[in-house]
Amino acid sequence: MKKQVIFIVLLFSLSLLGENYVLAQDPETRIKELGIKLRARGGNSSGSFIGVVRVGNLVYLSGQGPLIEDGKYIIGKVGKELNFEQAKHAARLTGISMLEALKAGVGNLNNVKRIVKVLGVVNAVPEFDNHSQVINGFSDLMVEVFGENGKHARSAIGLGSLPRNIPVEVEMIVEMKN
Amino acid sequence: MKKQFTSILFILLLSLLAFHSANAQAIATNPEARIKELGIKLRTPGPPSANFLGAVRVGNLVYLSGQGPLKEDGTFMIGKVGKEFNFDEAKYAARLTGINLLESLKAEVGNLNNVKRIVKVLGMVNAVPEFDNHSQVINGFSDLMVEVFGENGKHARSAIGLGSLPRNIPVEIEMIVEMKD
Repeated sequence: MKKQVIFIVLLFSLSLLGENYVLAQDPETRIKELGIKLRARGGNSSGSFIGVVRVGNLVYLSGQGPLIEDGKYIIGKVGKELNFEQAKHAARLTGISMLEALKAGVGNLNNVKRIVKVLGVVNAVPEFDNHSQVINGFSDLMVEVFGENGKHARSAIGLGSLPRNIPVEVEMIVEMKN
Repeated sequence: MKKQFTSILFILLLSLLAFHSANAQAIATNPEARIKELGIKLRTPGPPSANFLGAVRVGNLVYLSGQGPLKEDGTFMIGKVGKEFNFDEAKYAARLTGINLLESLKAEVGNLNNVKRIVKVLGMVNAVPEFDNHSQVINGFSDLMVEVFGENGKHARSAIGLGSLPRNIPVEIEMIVEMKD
């Protein structure tokens, strides 16, 4: 009898663990848990281009920047107006902006199979050499949201200027489940 | 007798030709052997320092993270092109970056003989604003790909100049590779 009870308790706790596992694998829930509110994005392009193009199961996303609120971005060059911590935060904000563009394009982020490729661009003074650590602000968010599927191939680079003088711009390629 | 001699000579010549073309074929289809012939020793890369990977495969395409000019002693070449480094040094850095990319490609796919072709390369030079020789610098990389993979090493490419790069490396290159299966 005692053995049976232990067995049932064990089964029950295992199923609980399983449930937690499912929760952790659900990006839409993870985003809510992280306290991130994805804004609905209208046309997130200002010209003859669009935010998202899908080819088969691959989604190509246009470069995004650190959007604070509608039309308002973090502005400034890294190593001049912005320091390292501010730049890393800008990379995280750019990640949120990217998730918004992705959601606008595919609907449900739970259908993302994995993040494939990221190009992280830092608008920096010529002496700046900490690009990788800045773009980690973006990469870490992807792993917080998508878990292991959020890990991606990546290049981090520095440019002399960016549109509107935003400090960070990131583009990426995503693979969908179907 | 003379006719026989001529025909033997002819057959000998033919087999020599066949042997040569078979050899050329081996060069094109055996990149692993070519790498050894070139005296290049591929190291096993360590895991990336943060939340990203050296490569991601989707179907037959392998997307490789940007790599830099890692020297044999495990440190990177550091400096801006047109300032700390001249053209020849920059081109050599592009070749070293190529070896580094082959290492991360091998770590992902195991056998480089299974590479179908190099598809797309983005070659980035950390240069002073006046620098305008980016294509010739990135040739240091592209030439290596052709030395290793033959015609299959030829790729679509953009060569660009940037104001800065991580650790102040002179060259960073990323690429997309197609696998046989």
